[in-house]
Order: sequence, then C-alpha cells, then structure tokens
Amino acid sequence: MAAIRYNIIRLSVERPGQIVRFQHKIPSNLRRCTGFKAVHVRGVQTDLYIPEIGWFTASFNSLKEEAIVVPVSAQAFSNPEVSHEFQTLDVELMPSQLVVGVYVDTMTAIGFNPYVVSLYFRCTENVSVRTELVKITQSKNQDCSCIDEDDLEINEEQDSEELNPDQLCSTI
Amino acid sequence: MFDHLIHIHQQFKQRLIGIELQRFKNVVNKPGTFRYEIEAYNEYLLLTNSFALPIGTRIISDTNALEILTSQNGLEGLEEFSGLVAIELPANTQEYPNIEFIQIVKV
Repeated sequence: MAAIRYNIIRLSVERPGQIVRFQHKIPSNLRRCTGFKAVHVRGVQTDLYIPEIGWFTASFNSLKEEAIVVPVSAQAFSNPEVSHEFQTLDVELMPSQLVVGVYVDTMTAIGFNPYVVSLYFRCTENVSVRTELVKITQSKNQDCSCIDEDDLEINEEQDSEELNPDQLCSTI
Repeated sequence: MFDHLIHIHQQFKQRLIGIELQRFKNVVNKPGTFRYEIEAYNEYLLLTNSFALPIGTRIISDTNALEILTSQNGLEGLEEFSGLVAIELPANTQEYPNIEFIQIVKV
C-alpha cells in the first residue's frame, strides 16, 4: 500500500490584484500526486460566502505538465466550515522537479485586507524506496542491541500515522 | 544579450515538448482600447518586449500572469502564456506599443 503524504504551498497576498509567483520542489520520494485543494487560510473577513477571491495555476515536473487552474473561495465569518475534499489529480512525478505557478488575486480594492492562501497536494510516496532506507538504517543499527523504550513509542506513533494516511502530516 | 530562439529551443527540449511551428505574433494596440484577449489554446505565446510595455500592464493567462512593474521593466527574460490570454493596459496610459510574442505551436 502506498503511503499518502501532503505538500503545502502557502502564500501571502499583500495588495489587491497582486500576482504571487511560487516554485516548490516536491520531495523526490513522492511518486504521484492524486489530489489537490486550494483554500483561504486567514485574512479575508466576510459576512457572505465569496466564491472567488483569487485563483491558482500550477504546472508540474518543471513545466512539463500543466495540471491545475483552481479558484479560491472565502467562507462567511458566520459559517467557517470548509470542505476537506480534495479534487482529483493524476500526475506522475519525476524526481527532483519543480511545481511552478502563480496566484492571482481578484478581490476588489475596497476593504482589502492582506490574507493567506494555501495549495495542498495529496501525493503518494514511493514505499519501496522508503523500505530500502529503513532496511539500510536497521542494518546499520544492528550492532546496537540497546533499545530505548522512548524509541519504541516513537515507532508506534509512526505506524499509526501510516495506518491513517489522511492526516495532514508533512509540510513544505 | 541572449538569443531568444536558442533559449526557446533549449528550454522546450528540456521540457520534452516538440515544436510544430514557431513564428512571430503581434498585438497592435489602438488608442482608447485597454483590454485585449487572444486565444492561445494548445500553444504558447512568449512575450519578447516586456520592456516596452507601460508600467502597470497586466497579462493574465490560464498558465501564467504578469504585471509590469518598474523592476520588471528592464528584464530580458521571456514570459510564457497559454490558454486564454488577457492583456490589460493601465487606464491612464498614454503609450500604445505593439505587444510582440513568439508563438509556439506544440506537437
């Protein structure tokens, strides 16, 4: 089973109409991106739901694949519930390549406040590479027979994370 | 000064994108018109004269967005646009330069 890892790109918008560029290197152990989600994090305070405060566009694999154009909405102050669903994406990741894109603010200048938006990627990890790394680490540590109880607890925590891969667990 | 055409060929080769056609494309500005839209679906438009555009000009496409600021006014680099490309000139401009692109149709 492939483990799921999340990547987050977080951007600050300081002025109306701002174009914010980003480029982000996805860790090389991630093999495929299967979902994405664009959300307003904080800053826009509104009594009504705003379907679009701006939009993201992003391309994967160092400009080889254009995959995403997505608006970002802002929830009403009185109803801050946000959907946790990811939109489907199916991009095979080449190792050590960039995600490149822009965020374009489309808010009006009236009553503008600086705000923060995030673009989440849900990706799957290359488990075989990780298993190899674990094996190598284990073989290196074979000589050391002293196992600390604290280490055991940490290992158990990691296992539970793999069993429940939908946690937001990794950042940039 | 770098050669735009060599740069384009090298970069598209890196990106594994084949070029079917390469040619120049101009958008002629008319006084009093501040917004233009060009369709560039399944192709790329590479802006070659950003230095000639008025400060505050915005070019927004499905894949890229650019605002000409003072700091960008002197750049030689090529900005690439694809999809529906909207060009917005600042409302108070007195300059109406042609906007020059290299059009790349991909295989």
